[in-house]
Amino acid sequence: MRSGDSLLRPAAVLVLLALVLTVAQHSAWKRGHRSLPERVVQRILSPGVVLFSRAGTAVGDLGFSLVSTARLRRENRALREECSQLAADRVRLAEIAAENARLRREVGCPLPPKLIRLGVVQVIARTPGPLRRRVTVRAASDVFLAKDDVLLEGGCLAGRVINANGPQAEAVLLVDSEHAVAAVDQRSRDQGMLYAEAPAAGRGDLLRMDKLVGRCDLAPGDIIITSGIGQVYPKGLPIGRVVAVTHSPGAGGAVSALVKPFVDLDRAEFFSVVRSVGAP
Amino acid sequence: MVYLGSALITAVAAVVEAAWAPWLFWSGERPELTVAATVVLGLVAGPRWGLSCGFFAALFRGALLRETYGSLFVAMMGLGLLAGAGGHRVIARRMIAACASAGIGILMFRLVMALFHPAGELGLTFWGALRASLYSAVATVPIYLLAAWGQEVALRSASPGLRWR
Repeated sequence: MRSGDSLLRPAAVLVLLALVLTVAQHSAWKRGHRSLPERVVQRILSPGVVLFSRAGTAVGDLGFSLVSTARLRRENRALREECSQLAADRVRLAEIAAENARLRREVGCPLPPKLIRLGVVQVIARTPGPLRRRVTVRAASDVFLAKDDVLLEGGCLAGRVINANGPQAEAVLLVDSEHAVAAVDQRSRDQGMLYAEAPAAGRGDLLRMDKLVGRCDLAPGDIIITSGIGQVYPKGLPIGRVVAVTHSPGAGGAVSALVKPFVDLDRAEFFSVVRSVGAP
Repeated sequence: MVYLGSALITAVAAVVEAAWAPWLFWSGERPELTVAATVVLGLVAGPRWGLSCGFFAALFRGALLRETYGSLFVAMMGLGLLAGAGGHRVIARRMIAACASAGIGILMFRLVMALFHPAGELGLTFWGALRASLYSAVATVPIYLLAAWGQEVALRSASPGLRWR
């Protein structure tokens, strides 16, 4: 009975206090701010919350670093090995290139044209319309563009200059309906011509490669590069990747491939310009 | 002593709960430390402590986590009183039982909150409540050990030679 009595009074006081606090909170929230007890409690306890938050974050960061240290070390080791491997490959390739040039000279084979980087041009105008895809580009004032200068983005072919006037020029893009480029499948060495594929809704820019000669071994995923035939573009510039191959029915049917260009020609704002010199 | 002690303990629990680090969340749930502290103190120290802890836990939690006082006071004080009155003499000295009681207490707490609030308002879900209950039961271990140690110290200072456990 005594313990019941001793509990009853504090319980009544606490319930009363709880009621007062609840009413105060409701009326304060209705007016759009917080009640005085809430503000007091928050003022007193907030530093503790901040302290514990920081401690929790610090412990988390420490744990994360400890866990990821081993992984990062492994990754770094692998990257270092890859780097040294690539450096060795580079030396080997330079040696092969030198040997290639020597042999070419010995057998009297013409040296491939050299590409000179002229600088960067900015797209300042675009021809509207889905078929005629041309751009007007402008270089720095000391750069003089010329017809047949090649536009690249990220080392990949984007188009070429067709009319030049000092640092300003009109260029035709790969996906222009009147443009074609001689190309070769890097893996199978199948050659063909690349044309702009008719635009279709919901599909990005695509090129169609028509097989020109001989047997055909085009496959999705193959990389298509310029073949240098026709000498409009230098040999070996990456163009795009094969996404589909179609065979016409019947013996000796034509083979064509859809190629997705590496360069997003709709969104490109800048291009590098290179000029081929020493072409035979 | 009861009020000061319970205010201190629940203040620490509310602060830790409000500052719970994001990387320690279990599928969006953190342990309900204030509820667990209320239940454990009710079990270990009796209904008066349970009630008092419930009051302060609701007060601090409502202010720090911006929850409405009405439902919090009902749920917390009810749980503290229930734990103290129902379990103080029976399971106070068993840690596993205290953890299980805290877990059940969380479920009851969530049930009361769900009765007062629409489910969408607080993001209350059945599986969320289960996860919070399990997580809180685990987090109850240090709270129980602290509470038991405090009880032991209090008992020894009152009458040397006596042991709580």
